[in-house]
Amino acid sequence: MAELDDMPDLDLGVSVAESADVAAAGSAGTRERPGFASQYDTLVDRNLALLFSSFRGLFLLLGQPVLLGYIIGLAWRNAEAEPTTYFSMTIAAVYLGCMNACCVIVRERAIYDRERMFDLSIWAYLLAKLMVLAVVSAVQSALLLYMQARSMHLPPGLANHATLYVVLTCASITASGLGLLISTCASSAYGAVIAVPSLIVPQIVFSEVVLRSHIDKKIPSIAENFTITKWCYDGLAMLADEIDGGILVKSLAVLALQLAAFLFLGAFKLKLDDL
Amino acid sequence: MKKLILIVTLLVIVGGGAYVVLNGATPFFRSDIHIVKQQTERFFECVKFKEFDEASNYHNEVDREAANIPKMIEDLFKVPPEYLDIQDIYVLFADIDSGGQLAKSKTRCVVHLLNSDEIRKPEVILYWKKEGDQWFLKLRSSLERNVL
Repeated sequence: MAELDDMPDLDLGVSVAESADVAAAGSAGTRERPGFASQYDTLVDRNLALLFSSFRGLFLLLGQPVLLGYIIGLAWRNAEAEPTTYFSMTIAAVYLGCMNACCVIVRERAIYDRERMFDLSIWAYLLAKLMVLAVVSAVQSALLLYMQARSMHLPPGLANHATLYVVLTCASITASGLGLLISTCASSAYGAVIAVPSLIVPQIVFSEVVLRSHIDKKIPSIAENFTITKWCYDGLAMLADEIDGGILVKSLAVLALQLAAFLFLGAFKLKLDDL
Repeated sequence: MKKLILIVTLLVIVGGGAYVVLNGATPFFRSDIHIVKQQTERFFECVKFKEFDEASNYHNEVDREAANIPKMIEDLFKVPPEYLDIQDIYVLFADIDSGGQLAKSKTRCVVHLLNSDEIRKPEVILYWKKEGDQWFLKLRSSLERNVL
């Protein structure tokens, strides 16, 4: 929390101290509240400053994909990628995205509540968080793939590499949306971290790779469609043969829909907390 | 927001540059793996366009005299070269041994067999040996391994 005190203040027109003066001076003294774009810009800058404020935090963010990529590469050392490789990559991307985001709101909840009193836009707040998390996801996905490619043989060619990167990054960003939702619902950072495995394990269990023929049963087949892993895996596994534009577009579209759903639910929860 | 745009721009430039360098697309940073991949691709292009004289240049002089490339291609694909239409060539990977003298490259070709109107996707492994500073194809050990 000490780091948060050094961050740029969100200039919402009236600070806590100013509000008392303004009240005394009457309504003529009030300043216009900054709009969505202005709040969003300030919040993105603040989130960036937060990201770079802790060397240890940054090291952990970048170290995790390096370690996971190394482990996956080691498991398939000198071999070509196969369906289980793509599934492992999917789990790694979802885990990274979710863990990056699960604490970002809950650990600064007091600041959020204070700024919310001065008309902080919920959407500016959520989208600013997501924007910075998306950049982190993009860097992490690149590191994950690079570390894997050092040990194993990924599908060759720019088109395959671009597809791997885009699908993994999108899955990681969607998982960040899930992490933000967890963060809005959690009462403590500890609770948020505990909740992550509870949401990732079903994504592993309800998957074609784990359930094989059982995936065709009613409940697993329905549950699978709601997981991030299914759509990321579908987007990656087609590379075993060749790129299918239809599958790729469908996978990315569903991931985008899931992200939108997580953000709407997160915004709804924050709105409920106003009451 | 400007800071974020600046960071993203820097990341794209650094990441893109690193990708280009790591894939051997620049002549300055070309490792043996990139040379083997490039030679593999060119070899199959020669076969694709029936340029057997140039294809034979990828093995050393001793092999070059002994090898009959059209016959080997026929043995490999089970059709005479004139019935073989290689449509796509994908170099899947190349590996180099710890001593840096031996290499192998795996390739997937999409071939149209004109006599039976079939499309096949055979995977072929080519074996390479470094002599001096040049990589030569061990043509017999490579093409005699039929992986159709």
